[in-house]
Amino acid sequence: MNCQGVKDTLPLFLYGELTFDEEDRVEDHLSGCAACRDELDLVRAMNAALSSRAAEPSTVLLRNCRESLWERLEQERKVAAVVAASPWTKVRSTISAVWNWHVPRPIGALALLMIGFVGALLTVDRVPGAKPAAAVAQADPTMSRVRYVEPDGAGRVQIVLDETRQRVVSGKLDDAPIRQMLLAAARDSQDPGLRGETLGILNGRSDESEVREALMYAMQHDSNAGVRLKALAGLKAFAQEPEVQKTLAQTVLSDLNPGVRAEAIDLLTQGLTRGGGQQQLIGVLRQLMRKESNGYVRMRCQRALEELNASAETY
Amino acid sequence: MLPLQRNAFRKGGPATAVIINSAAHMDESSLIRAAQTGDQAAFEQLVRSYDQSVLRLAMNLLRSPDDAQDVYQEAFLRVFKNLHAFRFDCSFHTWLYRIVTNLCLDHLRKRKVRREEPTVLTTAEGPLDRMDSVAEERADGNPQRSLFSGELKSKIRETLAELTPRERMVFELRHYQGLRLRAIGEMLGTTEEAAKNCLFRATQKMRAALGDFL
Repeated sequence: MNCQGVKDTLPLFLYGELTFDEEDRVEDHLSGCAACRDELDLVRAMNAALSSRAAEPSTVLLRNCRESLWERLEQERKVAAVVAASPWTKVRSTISAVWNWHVPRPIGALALLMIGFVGALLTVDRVPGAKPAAAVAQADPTMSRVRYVEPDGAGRVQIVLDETRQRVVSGKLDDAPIRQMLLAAARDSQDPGLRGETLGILNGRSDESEVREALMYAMQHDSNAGVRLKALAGLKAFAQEPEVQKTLAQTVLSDLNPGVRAEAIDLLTQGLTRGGGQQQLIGVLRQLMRKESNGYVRMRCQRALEELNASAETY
Repeated sequence: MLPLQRNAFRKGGPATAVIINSAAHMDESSLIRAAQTGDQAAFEQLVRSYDQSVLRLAMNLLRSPDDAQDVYQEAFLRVFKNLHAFRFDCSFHTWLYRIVTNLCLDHLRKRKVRREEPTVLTTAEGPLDRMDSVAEERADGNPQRSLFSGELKSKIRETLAELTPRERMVFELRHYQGLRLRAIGEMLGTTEEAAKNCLFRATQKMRAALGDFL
């Protein structure tokens, strides 16, 4: 094996992907060739440089991925349940069971033909919710998505559509239906941008308990850190409320995002200073100091403890 | 189906832990068979066994958390919908990675067409890879070394982007995921020899591009 041949195979040699014989020949050559040993060092250095670029997904990203997947799978299962519960599926499975059991096939085929023919005559325009295609085509303001299709033996097909009908509703925040829609959007929307915007609107009404509840819910359950920060901002004026303090303490100790934890420290400090209960606050901050790994959050926490004259030796 | 099983996917529910613990005691083929019969906890356990490495693969290849999340979701949805058809002809790992690599290759091909590298930002100090910001080597505060390290990183990024999607995939699976070429060939629906040739071309291109920086 000449030098060029060895140099070409060195990456595969380092990956352990050469045959036993090839590996033997490369090792033989390397033992007597300083230039190829230098090349080996260089390829090793290149591999190390490439390895330093490996990306490790964050725990937050993994959590978000899992949560969206679980949500999507829930939807898939609901659709599967609807399909399984549809009368047609039941009829089909019954026919299938009988078919597989003891009905001779020619008779079964004839029976199916009859069922299809008579069924088509009886059910047209009578299936609840089933509309002729022309009626669907005329429904202009509706966004439709085909959820599933069900052919019958008579050459017809039943299509189930998911329809989103857009409707503009306007009103003041004082209007109960408007507020209820906003509260629902803040909690249930799949779109973090929309949840954040909705909370931004609701933040102005955080003096109302149901709005505060929605904000606290978002702080505890929303998967998006930006939305949680928005919720925190909305609770600023009520940081001394016991329920809000409890939520803030929980956020300080368990939120995965350091930015949210740092904001929550400020708010908790501000609320407890105003409303008393300094010992509780010191307890929460000390607990945080024991487990916090983020330098910036530790600094904010330490500063808060100093402002409260808590001894540094106690944690 | 038991009520506990129905709850298995809900976030943080107490039932989840109970079910997961029972599923955790199953070996992989029992988990797959249970998931094939509709056991949600078994399916969840199966996802949890592999999802971190799936996400890491997608992240390394696509260098974009959003794209990686898309691939993650689409891959496991396909697994969910097609698990009944899995016949143990190959390992579950190979079957899953075949799905993931196909999805990643689609993304890479689309990106080649769009000529897009979404994680790279243009800043006043030159191009910046958002993915490099976390575990970056600090170069001991030495500005020269830091500059050199920055140039090397930039060159690595350029070189990887220049590889064909297939070369990029084989290199990723061998270098970062540590898979053997035989397994890579099986995943990509090709031979071990073809995977070897791909890896050879990829390493040659990188050697030529990075040699002066090492």
